[in-house]
This record gives sequence, structure tokens and C-alpha cells, in this order.
Amino acid sequence: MSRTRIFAGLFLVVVAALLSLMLGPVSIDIGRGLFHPNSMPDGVVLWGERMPRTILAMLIGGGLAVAGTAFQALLQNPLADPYIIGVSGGAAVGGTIAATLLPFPSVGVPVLALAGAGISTFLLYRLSVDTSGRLRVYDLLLTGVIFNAFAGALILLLRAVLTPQRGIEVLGWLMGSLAMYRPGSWMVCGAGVVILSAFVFLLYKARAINAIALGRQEAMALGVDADRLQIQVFIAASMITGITVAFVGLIGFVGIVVPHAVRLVTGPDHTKVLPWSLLMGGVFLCLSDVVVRLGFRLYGSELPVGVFTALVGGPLFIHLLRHSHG
Amino acid sequence: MDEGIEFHGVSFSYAQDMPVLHDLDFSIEKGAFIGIFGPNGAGKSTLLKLAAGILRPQAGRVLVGGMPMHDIPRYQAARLAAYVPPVLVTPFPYTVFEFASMAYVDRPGWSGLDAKAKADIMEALRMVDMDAMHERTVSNLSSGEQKLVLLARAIVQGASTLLLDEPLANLDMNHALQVMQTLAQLRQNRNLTVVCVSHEVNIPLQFVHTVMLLNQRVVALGPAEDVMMYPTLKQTFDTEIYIGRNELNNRLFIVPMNRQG
Repeated sequence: MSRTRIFAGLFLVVVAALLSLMLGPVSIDIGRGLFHPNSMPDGVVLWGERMPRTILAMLIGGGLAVAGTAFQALLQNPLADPYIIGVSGGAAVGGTIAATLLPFPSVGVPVLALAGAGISTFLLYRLSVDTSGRLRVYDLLLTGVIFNAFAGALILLLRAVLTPQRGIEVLGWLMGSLAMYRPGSWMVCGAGVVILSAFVFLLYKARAINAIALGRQEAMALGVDADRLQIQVFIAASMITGITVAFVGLIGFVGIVVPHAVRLVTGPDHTKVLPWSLLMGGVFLCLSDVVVRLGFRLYGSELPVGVFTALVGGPLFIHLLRHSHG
Repeated sequence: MDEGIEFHGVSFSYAQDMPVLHDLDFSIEKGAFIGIFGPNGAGKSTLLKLAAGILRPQAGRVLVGGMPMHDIPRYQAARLAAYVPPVLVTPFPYTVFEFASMAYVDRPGWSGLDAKAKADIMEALRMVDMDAMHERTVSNLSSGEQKLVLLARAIVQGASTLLLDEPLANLDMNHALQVMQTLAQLRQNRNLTVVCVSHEVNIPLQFVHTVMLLNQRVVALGPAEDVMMYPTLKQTFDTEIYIGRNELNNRLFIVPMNRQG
């Protein structure tokens, strides 16, 4: 049974990747493009445009779902998400500062977004941990909500000092689009290294993460150094969040919807939820990106993929929530 | 000396100037079956968490099996003493098997559990008579079944000391007896030290050999016959009390009495 499941999963990944490589405003011959990288338009569009975008969609979608899974376990709450607890907001502020001070896009965006995610995570953690090192989950969730509003205000403040053109670019980036930002392939590689190494670490700790989802003291009773694991998981998940925001802005709901859907199939064991979230998050974002690329061709525009994931994710999330309560 | 539980001058408070436990000095020998009773706020759960090394005392030392519980790595401590919480609470619908397998927190997440680990988990579930339900979701079980799953997980943990926090809370008489019988069997088969903290006194009194009365200090510690005395109990629980003896099994029982009546 689990073997069929693995084949089905890999099949979905391959299908999503192929669709993303094949479909777009310019129709290309994939076979020709694959072996003739310099051919116009097939090779150039495939290697210069669609390949990095597809890989990025897979990485970012997977990363968002993995970060969501990690935060949900840590906060013992299946509704937690990097976006909701304010880590994405911190990363967005960092990225916007980079866009204000430096050319846009630049390597400063991921660097400052990572810093922003790190700083906001640290602040959220400090504000939500009591004197004996216990994490007060509700404080954290509430602080996150407030922090998001504050981050939104900071971003609008920064935008007011930008030139109109730059302001539109920054806003487009923040809305969550895989198209606005054209990173070099080495930057995609860098994002991949960060996201995948954080994922590998989380998967390594998946059994301890199962325990910490039951609470700090219960995890300690089972033999987990809970305080340390909390910090490690926070760092790993906020690194992923920082990178995703730097590359594609604020894409909500992937971190909630994908782990939820995965759990309905695999059950809540994190040794399964983490790898499946990585794969299915990638598939979800890749397919969403194909839809926004094609859906608005008539109007000569592209919908930011974050708008699409929110449109699909919002209702789907409500449905999943009702479904999971039987 | 022995390899049981030792408290040396242990004091603990959650907040400054609000001490919960004062200067605890006692030892419980290996293989003991002990019930700890006391009023609300006596520090019973706190004592268990100190013994498990989950809480760190402000003063004194806690040893289990000769090891200082709050100075050794968590994983090692959890193999010496297993704290069993009063209720099973989970945000996610784990299966009985998944829940019991959580004791393997040290294994990397990418490798599945080996055959021996799986066999050990099923064996532990069999000991609490939950093996047939191993694919059920823990959130859908009755309170009694959930207690048994928590117990099975503690067995998988492999600790030689079980620290049970209110193992009988929310259970009817039949299930409460069943949990105590399972504990008694486990203790015998695996040579465990079993410590029960409980508000329900009479059911544990039929099983335990040693009783501790706790009210922020150790009021009394010893065989039930010596500890369950009228003046001590009346003072500790601050209530009028009747101590009787069950004629069929010769065990003591206590009943609180209405002073106005």
C-alpha cells in the first residue's frame, strides 16, 4: 500500500513538473529544448525561464509546507503557519529594507529577509517564553497576529519613500509571485541548499518532533531536550520562511493546507508528514503557478501565485477543518 | 546504597517566595510499589516531575538509580524514570501504535522502526491488552483505554521506574482496578519501581506496599498500616475522616465525613 502511495506521489511530482515546463505564453518543444539549450525559442525559454521557475516553485512550495508542519508541531496547533505567527512578516520587512537601500532584485533581499525572519522569530520567542523557559503558545499566536499588522505598516512606510516604479515592483514581489523575481541559477541553488538542509534536519528530528507536539514536559518525559529542540526547529523553520519570502514574497495557506491534506492521507506521524509535505507542497505551488501563468493570458497579465493559493487555500482550509472534526 | 529514588534536601517553587515543596529528604527502594497521597496543592505532581528530572529543584539533589536526574542527558534520564501524565492530550490524531512508538525519540526520522522495536511496541501494547486496537486513533479511545496507551508508551520507554500522575483520574471503579492490576503485574514481571500519585486513595491502598503522605513536606512515609493513622490523616487533609478495614481482604480504607451531619 505504501509503495503505491510512493509511486502516486512521484507520479504527481513528475506530472506537475512536466506541465510547468511545457505550458506558458510561448509554446515550445520540450524535447528539442532539452537537448538544444541555445535553440530559439525552445532551449532558451526552457532553460532560461521555465526550468528555474519550476525548480523554484517545487522548492518554495515544499519549503512552505515543511515550515508550516514544523510550526504546527512546535505550537501544538494545526492552524499555525509561518504567515500567521508573523515570521513571514518579519522576512518581508527585511526584504523591503533591502529593496529600499539596494538595487532590486539583489542578493540583499534573501540576506535581509533571512535576517528579518531570524529577528522576528527571536523576538516572538522571547516575548512568548516565560521565566522557566516554557513557550506560551497563545501568547505566541497573538503576538504573531499583532506583529503581522506592525510589519504591514512598516512595509507601507518604506514603500512611501520608494520611487513609484520600485514601489510597484516591491508590491508585486510581496504579493507572492514566481514571475516578478528573476534570480540567477546560483541563487536558486542557494535557496535549494538552505531549504533542503533545513528539511533534512527536521526529518532527522521527526520522532522528537512527534513528541514535542504533545507539549514541552511530555517531550522531556520521553527523553527529548525540549528547550533545545524548540530553538532548533524555530531556526530551521524560520530559515525556510526567510528564503521563501525573499524569492516569492508572501504566499499564504500553502503551509496550512498542504500539511492538513497530507495528514488526512498519511496520518500525523512527522516521519511521513514532513517528506510528503515537501513533495506535495512543491506539486501544489507548481500547479498553482501553471494556472496563473495561463489563466489570465487573455488579459495579457499574470495573477500573482499568492493570490491564487489564497483563493484556493482559504475555502479548502475551512473545508479541511470541518472535515477533520468529523 | 539502593538503586531506587533518593531526594536529598530538595526544595522547589514555581514562583519566588511561593515554595511548593520544602526540604524533602527520603528514599524509595528499588522495586517498591508506593502510593503518594495528599491534599490539593500538596506538590504531588511536582514531586513526580522532580523525580523524572523534568523540573529542576532550587535546592537539593534528586537521584534515580544513583544518577542525578537533572544533570544527565534527557534521553538517559527518560530511560531511568518514565513520567506518565494524568491525561492523554494530542493536537494530532496519532494511532495507538504511533503514540506508543514515540518513546523512540532518538531514532532518525528517515529510517523506519526495525523489527525489534516494532515487536517491543506490540509486546508493550499486549501487556496492557491494547494490541488489538493498535491501529485505532488515540483521540477516539475512552479515558480508560487512553490511560493504558500512556502506560504502554512508558513500558516501551524501558525505564525501571514508573512515575504515574493520577493514573485513576476519570476512570470508573472497574477500569481503575484494571489499571492498578496491570501496574501490579508489570511491577512483578519487569521488576519495576512504581510510584502512584492519586486523589483516589482506597483503590491504590489495595495494591501498594508503601504510602507517603505529602503536604508540601513529607508528613509520613512507610507501610500503609503505620501511615494511615487518624490524627495524621485528619490533619493532612483538614477534614473529619473514618478509617475502616475491609473484612474480606483485610485492607484499610478511608471515608471523609460530613462534619455538619
